[in-house]
Amino acid sequence: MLKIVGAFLVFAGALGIGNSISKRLKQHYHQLIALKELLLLMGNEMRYLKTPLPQALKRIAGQCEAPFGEVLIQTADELLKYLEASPGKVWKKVLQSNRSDYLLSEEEYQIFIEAGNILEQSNTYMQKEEVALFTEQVQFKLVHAQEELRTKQRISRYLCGAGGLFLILLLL
Amino acid sequence: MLESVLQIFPVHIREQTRQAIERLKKIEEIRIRIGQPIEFLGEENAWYLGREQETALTKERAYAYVIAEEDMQEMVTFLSRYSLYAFSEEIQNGYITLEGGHRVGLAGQVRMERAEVAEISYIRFMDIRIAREHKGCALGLVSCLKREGGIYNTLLVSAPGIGKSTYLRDCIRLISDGGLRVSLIDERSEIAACHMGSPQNDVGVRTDVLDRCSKPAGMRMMLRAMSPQVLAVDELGSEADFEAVKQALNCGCKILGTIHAGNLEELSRKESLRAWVDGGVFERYVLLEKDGQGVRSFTVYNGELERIC
Repeated sequence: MLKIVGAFLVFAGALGIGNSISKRLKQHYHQLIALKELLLLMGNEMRYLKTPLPQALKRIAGQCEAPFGEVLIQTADELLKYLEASPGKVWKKVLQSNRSDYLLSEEEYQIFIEAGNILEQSNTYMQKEEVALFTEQVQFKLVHAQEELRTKQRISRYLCGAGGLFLILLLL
Repeated sequence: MLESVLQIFPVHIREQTRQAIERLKKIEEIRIRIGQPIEFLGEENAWYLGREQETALTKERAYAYVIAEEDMQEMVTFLSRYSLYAFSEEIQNGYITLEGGHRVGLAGQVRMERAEVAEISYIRFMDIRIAREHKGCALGLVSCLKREGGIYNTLLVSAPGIGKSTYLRDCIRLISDGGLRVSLIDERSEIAACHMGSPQNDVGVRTDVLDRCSKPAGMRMMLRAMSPQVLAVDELGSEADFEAVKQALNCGCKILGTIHAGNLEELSRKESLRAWVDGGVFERYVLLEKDGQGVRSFTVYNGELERIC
């Protein structure tokens, strides 16, 4: 009886790990979508509404999911101290200190950091071009992530399930 | 103190600039020119920002801090709040208003497009004018402008630099606080000195402001939208301005405006105004003058240009 209960718990735990990985994969995908949305919102605020940068970032923050909103607010607050003339550098510094909040890969996070170039542009034409450039890069990652999502989710569940069974057999 | 002004200075000389401003009494202007020292102008003549950390101020050019291109670039970034794109219109007009109503005049290399200023491509000169309200300067004047249930249609008249805008601002404040709804069309952002739409100067509790709007369009908008009892406008002059004034008068609204003229004879000679003077449209003319000691005074005339106070 005890062995059955133990085996059940081990299997449940393994499935739980599999589900957790699956959930993280989905969250990663959603974060890529949120990142693309953030870039489009930034472009819109700067190009059409012509809001000064600190105010633009705070406005967009209200429309973004966590943890993106928080990063925008932090960047806006740093800018309002007027201690650094390059908004791109401020953006980079804030993002580097918040890395652990994101499920993006290193490459994707680098795109996020480099998107700070949008903030450096003084005219609307270059802002539009930069937004398009980074949105394209994120879109590429998004398509790739979407294609792999289902497969990876299935694999993670099956592998964890199998791993759980293997552990049970070992212990038994 | 003057934080919005200090914020635009380069980080490495900001503390020194703060000390310089604190030491000077009643600073009026700060002049920044590329390759030249930063000049502080006020009651105590001109001072330069010192080159050394220990010397905030100096009168010797040799010991003064000279503005470099990187400094100017940093100042433009901070002045525009990292957003030159958001201030393209202000830059076209040649100035940006800071929080607190301080105006920063800009000059440099201009790019023209179809005979109009498209932008100042390289901003190399700044003139920071420190805003100071002179509340109460129109206290004695407003009583001469009031009538039963409102005010007389009034024109403040003076040569440039005498203080028409300052008097206008104080009149608006007193009239508004006195109970009348005032709509101010602040085309050049000098009266209310709005920063992101919010007045930085006290223009009264019942005053609505249309900032950076042309006077004719602004008057029409305010008449339609804000039901003013008094329409306040600075520097009336063009035909379109007076057409809009006519429309306002037809709506039963009173006008409080200013116009450039050295004296009443010069006023009568203005083409667009002659018909109005002859027709008695304006019921009060206030002539503002400044004597040799810089003391300002006003004289009030009725619609027939007879002196009344």
